[in-house]
Amino acid sequence: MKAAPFCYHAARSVGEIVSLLETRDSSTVLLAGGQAVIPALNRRLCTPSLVVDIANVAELTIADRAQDHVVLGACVTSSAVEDASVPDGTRGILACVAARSGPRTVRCHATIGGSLCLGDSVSDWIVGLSALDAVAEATSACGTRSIAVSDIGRSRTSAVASDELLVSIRIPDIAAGSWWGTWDLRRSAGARPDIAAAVLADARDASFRCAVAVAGRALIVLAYRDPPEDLRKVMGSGAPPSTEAMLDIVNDELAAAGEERATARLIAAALGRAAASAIRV
Amino acid sequence: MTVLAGSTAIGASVSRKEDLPLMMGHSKFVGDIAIPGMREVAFLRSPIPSGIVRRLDVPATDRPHVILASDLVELAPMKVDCLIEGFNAAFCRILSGADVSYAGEPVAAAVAPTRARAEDIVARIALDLEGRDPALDITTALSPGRRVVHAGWTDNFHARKTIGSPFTLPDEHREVTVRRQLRTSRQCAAPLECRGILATWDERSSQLVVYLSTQAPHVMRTALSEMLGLAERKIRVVAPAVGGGFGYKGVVLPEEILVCWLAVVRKGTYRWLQDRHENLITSANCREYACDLTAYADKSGRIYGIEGTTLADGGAYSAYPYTACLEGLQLGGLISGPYDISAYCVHAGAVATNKPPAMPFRGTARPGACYATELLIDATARAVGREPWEVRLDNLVSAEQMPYTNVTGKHFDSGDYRKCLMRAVELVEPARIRARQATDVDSATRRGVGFAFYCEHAAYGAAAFISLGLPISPGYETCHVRLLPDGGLEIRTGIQSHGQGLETTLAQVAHTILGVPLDEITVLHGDTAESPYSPGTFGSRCMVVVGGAVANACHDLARRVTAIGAHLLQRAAAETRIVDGQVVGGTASIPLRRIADAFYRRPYELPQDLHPASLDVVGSYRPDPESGTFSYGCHAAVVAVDIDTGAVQIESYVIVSDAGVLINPMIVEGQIHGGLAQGLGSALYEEALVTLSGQPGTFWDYVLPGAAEMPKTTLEHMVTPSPYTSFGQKGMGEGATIPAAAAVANAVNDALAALGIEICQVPVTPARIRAAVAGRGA
Repeated sequence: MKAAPFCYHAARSVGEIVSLLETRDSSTVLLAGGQAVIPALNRRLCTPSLVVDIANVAELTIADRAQDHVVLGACVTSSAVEDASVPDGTRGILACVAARSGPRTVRCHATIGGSLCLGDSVSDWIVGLSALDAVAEATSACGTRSIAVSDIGRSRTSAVASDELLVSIRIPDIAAGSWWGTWDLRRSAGARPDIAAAVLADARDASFRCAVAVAGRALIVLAYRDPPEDLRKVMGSGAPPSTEAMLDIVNDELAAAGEERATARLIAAALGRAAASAIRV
Repeated sequence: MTVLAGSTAIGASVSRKEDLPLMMGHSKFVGDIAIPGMREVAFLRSPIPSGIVRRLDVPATDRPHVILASDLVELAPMKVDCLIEGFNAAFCRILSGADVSYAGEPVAAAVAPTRARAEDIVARIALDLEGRDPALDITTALSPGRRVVHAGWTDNFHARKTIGSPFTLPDEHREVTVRRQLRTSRQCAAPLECRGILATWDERSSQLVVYLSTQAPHVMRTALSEMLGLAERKIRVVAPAVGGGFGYKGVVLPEEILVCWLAVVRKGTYRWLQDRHENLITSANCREYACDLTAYADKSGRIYGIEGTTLADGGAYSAYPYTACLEGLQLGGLISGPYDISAYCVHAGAVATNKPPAMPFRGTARPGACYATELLIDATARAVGREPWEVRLDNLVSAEQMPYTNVTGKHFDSGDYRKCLMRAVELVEPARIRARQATDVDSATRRGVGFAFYCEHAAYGAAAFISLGLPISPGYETCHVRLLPDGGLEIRTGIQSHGQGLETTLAQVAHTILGVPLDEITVLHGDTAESPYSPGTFGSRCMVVVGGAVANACHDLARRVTAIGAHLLQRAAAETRIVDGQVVGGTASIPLRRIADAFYRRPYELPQDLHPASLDVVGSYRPDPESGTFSYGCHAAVVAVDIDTGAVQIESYVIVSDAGVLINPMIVEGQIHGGLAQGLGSALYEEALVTLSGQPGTFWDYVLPGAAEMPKTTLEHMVTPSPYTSFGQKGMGEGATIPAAAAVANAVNDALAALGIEICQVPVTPARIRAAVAGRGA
């Protein structure tokens, strides 16, 4: 199929985009990497009157190094991160997340901000950046605010309002000696994960932060200032613990999140495998 | 066969002649062809699976650019005959005007200078449908009191047939009874290139010229002639580069008839390029089966009888030319597989549902039949407490029994099935897996080994077609072979090569006989104006029948050039022979180029009594007997199953294959690897789901395997020449697709056997495994 007729506008600044969003009607669509929008246009799942191309706005492609974090513009592509074309304070973790975020042909175009705005809780960027405790910055005519990436995963799209532009993502640096593990279950290498998990053991304060999502369900984040000893032992062990053992560790949090037994088992299994596969960075 | 180093003859792994333009992007597909003034066609499709058209309004300004069913009064539905008694006729309509029978059925068409503008017109058509309760699966369609899919039918069977007859076995042959209900999921044939057609009216030749992504250009011409009421000589079908077919491009789609009708009626040029979504949801459906089968065996697992039912979801209509019977009825006759089974009674049915018509896809019916048979074998082995491979070994037809006519009348031409199985067993070492299983009892990762044996009926003739109710069948296959004045060779064939490497393998046949260098041989195909009639490329037939025709033509040509060469060498014809592209007599020789030059340009050098037959030879071949060839093989998979997540990892995969004499082993291995990939799609990935309201899915949830999903594979060949073919070759293009799902499913079940779990549906998805594990209370 081919897209229905629309007007195309290449935006030049964040201010211009915000103005357009303020006055937008429901048929204005922002186009960044196009990996979701263009197929939707072609299948006429959306038929906007105006498509605003934001991919080449300088403010949206920044890559700034700060004292304890990196700020990446929302339109930085996965391949730019993967290829170390932008600063990475996570000791390579960010590049690993980028490298998993779809086939290379997609990664060359897909942007981090675009992935977050899609709000698919199992996306590599949402799970990975949630475990890294990254924060997105969104702006609108009403001002600028911070949104935890994990809140985007939890709310599944509604975290970013329709009149807001996701401008950048702030990713905290990771200390040497931290542990990072991921695991996902995909039907095929290029398919969307059925379930995805990421676990970070932060060497700065010995805290643990886990993010896990099952397709179609909200993201779950488990943060431990004082992680259970059993979980600590699993990190990087190479041998996933039994699902029952992992359930003992995380069951209360999952029950509080309202997860059913079968889903809780699957989440526990994913976390156990992510933790067991962790590597020291 | 011993192949000399540097040889390009039969048996040599010659690089494919056709690959360079494909790799360089120089090939031209239908989508690459454009003619000035061309109009693109887009279709309005039914959004629901069953309903009555209550309103179909086209804006007045768009009406000249829209075609409705009411505009096509002279076009009848795509009727195809079927000889099966009780066959319910429901043939694809070009456009549906009064009601719809599946989601995606074409209701109207729009034409415009671009596809986008055509789709704009489609978007402006108002279609109101009153929904009816659809029959979306086999069980629902056959439930008592269910509304029939088509008015006038008394039930929802396209056709039914009993293969074999009721039997009674002695008690010692039915000591063990094993019954299984097995299901395969609906799949979609997904060639890299979707369907595509460009039809133009050529005033100079007064012909309809059709560029079509097809694997059977001559059959398509016949079909177009019948449906458009246009003489065949008024139609030329050209298949340009075709990006995969798998059987799906051997059928005619209503969209293609409409595009041709436009070109004829409006004397213009029209093109329809099926997009990926249309390919997925509207026309490439297949392989959805439900089998309920019982095997009767003795205590050792020796099986004496099989009975039960096999049902195939045929969708709403019978596709041209094969009807719903091809898949539905063929399935029922294949359950005895490669085994020596004496009693057989299977009731086969092709069931009508409110889904797109089922169409052939690589191995048509055989992957599903093999899946059913091989799971039944493993279940029998578990019932008698033996290794599945041991039970297979005891039941396989032996080499001493060859040639062997099985219980459903299929004539196995040659082979040593048991030796093939045992070689696979040697390579897999099941004892090693058993030892590993013993240490894995408390682990979340369970390993299993699964075997599947298959034989592939290929290049079959009239009897097989008639048994499926098809009144037409392939007969003589013809080719033209022409020696050119410069000594080069042209081979013209009516088949279409769309990935099989036939431009190379047919050239190897000619080279073997005439010695003309491979790079001086051109194989032309895919154009009805330039080739003899052919049923086309399907059923793994080409290397047997077209290879035979090329061989016959080349032998005839060899006789003619030898006669001239002998004269030019001043030798008796009996003293001469062809060696390396030259006619040799004693110590003298003369190249074919020189002979061709004499024939075409220096007739005064020719003998006065030369037979006037030219160096342009027509050769034909019809297999004798027409029972076909049976290549065969054993696949074995070792899998690791994560019982907590349902993830399946294929750790190793073994294939032992016997396709007779291999014309080009490298191409055969390519076919095997490609077939395996599609078989693994059936095993683990591909499932075309529809929602409860009959809505089809997208490639978001329809998972196709890619290179990353291919396991490390060990491949070995056995060579048992067929006694019935020109060089001992056997058709093999579909073979590796057939057993893969069974091998993997058996391996998964082997891994889960200790938990008391047996999964009888493919694909074996993580969700199915998790559900099965949860179901046992783990």
